Amino acid sequence: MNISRRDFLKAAGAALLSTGLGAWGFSSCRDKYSQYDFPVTVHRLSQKRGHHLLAVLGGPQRHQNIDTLIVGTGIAALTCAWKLSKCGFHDYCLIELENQIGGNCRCATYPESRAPWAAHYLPTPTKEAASTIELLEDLGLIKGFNGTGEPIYDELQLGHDPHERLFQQGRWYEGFFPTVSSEDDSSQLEEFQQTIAKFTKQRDSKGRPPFTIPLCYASEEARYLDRISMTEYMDRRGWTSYRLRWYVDYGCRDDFGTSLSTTSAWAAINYFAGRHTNRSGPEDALFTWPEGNAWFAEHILALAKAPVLLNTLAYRIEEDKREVRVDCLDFNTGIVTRYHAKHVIFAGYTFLRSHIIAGEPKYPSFTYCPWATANLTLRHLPQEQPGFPICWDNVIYDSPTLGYVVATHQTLSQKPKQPTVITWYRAYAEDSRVKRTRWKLLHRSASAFKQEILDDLSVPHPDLPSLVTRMEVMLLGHAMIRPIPGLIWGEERQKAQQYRERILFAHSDLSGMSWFEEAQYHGVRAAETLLQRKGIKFSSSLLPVEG
Amino acid sequence: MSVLILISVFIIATCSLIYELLAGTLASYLLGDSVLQFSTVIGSYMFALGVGAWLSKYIENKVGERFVQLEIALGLIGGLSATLLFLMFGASSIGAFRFLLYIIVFIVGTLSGFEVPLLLRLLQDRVEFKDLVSHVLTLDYIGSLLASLLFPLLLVPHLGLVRTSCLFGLVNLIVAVLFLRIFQVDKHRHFSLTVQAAICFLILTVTFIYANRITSYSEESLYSDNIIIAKQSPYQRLIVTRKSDDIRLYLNNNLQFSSRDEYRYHEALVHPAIASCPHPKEVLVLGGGDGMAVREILRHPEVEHITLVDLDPLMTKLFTEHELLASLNEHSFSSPKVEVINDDAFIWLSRQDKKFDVVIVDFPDPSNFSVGKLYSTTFYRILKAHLNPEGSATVQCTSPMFARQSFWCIVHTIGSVGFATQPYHIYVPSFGEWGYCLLTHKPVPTPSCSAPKFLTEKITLAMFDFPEDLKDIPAKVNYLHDQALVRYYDREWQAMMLQ
Repeated sequence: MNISRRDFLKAAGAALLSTGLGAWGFSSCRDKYSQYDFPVTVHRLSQKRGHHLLAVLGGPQRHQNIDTLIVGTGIAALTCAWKLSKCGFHDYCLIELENQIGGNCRCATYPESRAPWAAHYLPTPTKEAASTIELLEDLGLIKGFNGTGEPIYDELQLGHDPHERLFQQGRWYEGFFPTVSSEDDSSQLEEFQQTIAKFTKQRDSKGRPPFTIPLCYASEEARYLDRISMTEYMDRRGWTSYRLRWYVDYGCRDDFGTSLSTTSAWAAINYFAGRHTNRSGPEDALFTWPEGNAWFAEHILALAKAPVLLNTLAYRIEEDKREVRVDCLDFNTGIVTRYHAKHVIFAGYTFLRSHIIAGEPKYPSFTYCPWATANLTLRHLPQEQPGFPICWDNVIYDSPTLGYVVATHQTLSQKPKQPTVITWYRAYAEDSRVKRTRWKLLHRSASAFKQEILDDLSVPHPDLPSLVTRMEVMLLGHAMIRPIPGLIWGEERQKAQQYRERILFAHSDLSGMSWFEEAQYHGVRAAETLLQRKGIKFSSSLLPVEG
Repeated sequence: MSVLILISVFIIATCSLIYELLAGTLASYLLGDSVLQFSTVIGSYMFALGVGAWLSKYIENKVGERFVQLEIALGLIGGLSATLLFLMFGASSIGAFRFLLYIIVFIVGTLSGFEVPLLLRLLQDRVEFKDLVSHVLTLDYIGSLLASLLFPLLLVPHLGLVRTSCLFGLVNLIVAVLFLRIFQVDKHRHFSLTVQAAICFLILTVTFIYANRITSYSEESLYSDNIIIAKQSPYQRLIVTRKSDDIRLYLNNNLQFSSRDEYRYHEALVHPAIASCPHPKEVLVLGGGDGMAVREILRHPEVEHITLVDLDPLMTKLFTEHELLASLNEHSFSSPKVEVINDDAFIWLSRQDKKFDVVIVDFPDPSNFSVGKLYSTTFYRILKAHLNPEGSATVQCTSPMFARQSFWCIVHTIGSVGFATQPYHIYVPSFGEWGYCLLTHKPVPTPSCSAPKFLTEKITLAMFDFPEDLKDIPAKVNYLHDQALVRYYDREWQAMMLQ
């Protein structure tokens, strides 16, 4: 018996053919999610409605007088209403483009659980956030103060332990800092933490720290850091550790939707240092609910007892010496109403001002990162992998996404394997050409989102695709202001904060950071200015700004 | 025919890699830490291949026959490897399992190591050496590629580990039969080898068919005694074993009681709290779905009504209706004084308006963050709001011996919400030294009580005395937002297990 070349080729051919079949199995599994048949919906929200702004609408069909109109129902608008109502002023109304209030604090409601669409927690406040402390007291989340003036929080509303974990090399670890692999990693991490600790203790001659929340209380000492990016700052400090950079980059993407190289060093450090300067209460404690910060939106609205017009688009605002005219389209009826208001508080994004308000300039430094979030209803939580157990916030190391939070984490039930909802977060931060990214996202198919989300979540949870019963994706084209170098302590932001004669502005983007405390600061500041202009007496909820 | 031989090379290469992947996967499934398991399994397997290759030189003659025998042996051992590992995991300790795992990896690897050298020798006279080496090794590597694709994508998801291993054992046997036909073996040997192959074929086929039962049998062998009840409720796996007069209940593999000494645990759990309350009329039991605590409470005729809240209806149903189990709690659930509610204790209590004279809190140990919530300040505040002014309660607090800091963490947490606490402990042979905490709104004298089987006034007094090795040590308070207790407990029991 001899094996000819021909025989060998036959055998090798047969072998390769079957290997090819294996490869085919592989490629057919690449579309492996097609077997998991559950409804996928993509909400593109105000895209269509908002783009009515670009179209010319007809003249008003109705006229109505009102003292004050608040445009928007995000946290800035709602806390403005809270302050106005608290001071006895009720002659105002809020208008909202969507069918739900809250702005970035909206939520989804399912039979299994409620779940957030965007903002989902509030850390216990710093002393500078005086109006936040007052609000938390009004909401019953602060039950009193102990002998040293520290707030006593309602424990049931604080996020339950365990808070966060990181999936790295096939294993879950508690906390977000990646396990260190080298001397460099640990020494640089230590240096980073010492630097942050130093910033939290530093005070200028007036007793002000360099990093604060709200940021208007920060001293001038570290503002030069706003001119450079966090990458440049870390380069200068010699912080080359990949893990440390991932950690800081994760923080920037999570809180700002910017990458390390597009975040102002001041903003990035404020994320770490500002939060821990003059912080009261248990370390790292935070408030959260299944519906996330929609809890705040709903409860603040209830406190303020404020009237809201939903599904209403304010598309033209004109101010003259006597009044402000606001043209609004009601999507329920199709009727355009012109409101004649004494004052308007515009609590929408700053980039919208030049589109809506006559005579407003463009603010080109105000750019926004597009986000996608997804609520996945699961039959039950996926099978546990080695390492630390399921947490409220679960992050995958080296993934471009932000991981997921578990809506039912706060449950007191002992029942295992209950249906749940997890919320997946993704800031499309890696490409600094945000307009291009936004355009691509708006035209992305539902199956492309399904693939991206399941690919990401299958890394730590191979069984997750088989547990999904429903997937809803929310596209937030202009989710959060990007604190690029120069925005926070530059001139344009100063200019944007100036009120007009009859139009005041309130939005977190005026701080260059999309944080609850900043939104509330601007809401309360606008409310107090309005009360002052109307000659209504009030006691300020804000600490005075020095210098 | 030569094509057939070359295809066999390809097939046995696939089988060999599949066995290696199986062992690696099983080890990471059962032992965790996949990086470690895969690395060590692959390393040992490669080493064993080398050992096999080296040993092959000692096969002097009848290479064809030996090769057929080798394939039969490999088919049987490799084919049963996953089954054997599953069964061993159930039957042995982790250390022994690890040892057996590497033994199996070594045997399969060594047998596999014989294959290529023997094949090369079988073919050496028929093919030119340079072609031979090139052909055989090429097909060997392509086979590995196929295995590495098939295994994760088709085999594990669709067949599972036990069936995959059987399937490839059968493939090895087919190769054996194929070679029997190709190579002339003397008639007598031919017959006996065919019979051997047929027997192995049968064994593997049967294993393939009953694969699911094997996985569940491995669970049964975890228990040394006879299983008399094995049930799965939506909440937990419930197993009752019996060895002569010793009846034991396991929930999710954790021992709940042994009928030989459970009276010690339950007498100590119930009577001090009742003795500390002047008018124990309304009693609440949280947990305790086995009805033993209720049995002890019913010994006090002044108790008018007992409410028991336990999550699992299957548990309370079994201990009401199953003759043997109900006899253990003296049919306490059938008493007209007893009301059984199947609900989440924490949620149920927080929605309750009623107050109680005595509350018995008998939750599972705080071994995870979900159960840890039942030992938080928030829970004890709610408990406080539901305890009458002269009321008293007992909380089971895990072992002050094995989990000393956990024990004192619970006691400090209870004290932090304003209860007067009196920790105590007793010895339960099947559990070890066990701890409880008696709590009241205002400080009360240490109770003295007695019960039929164990408690006497002297023993009661001694329970409240803590020797040096159990005494109070610093421990944090357990909050919902900072569960110090679960971390203590995890650390202490892990340290215990390593001893």
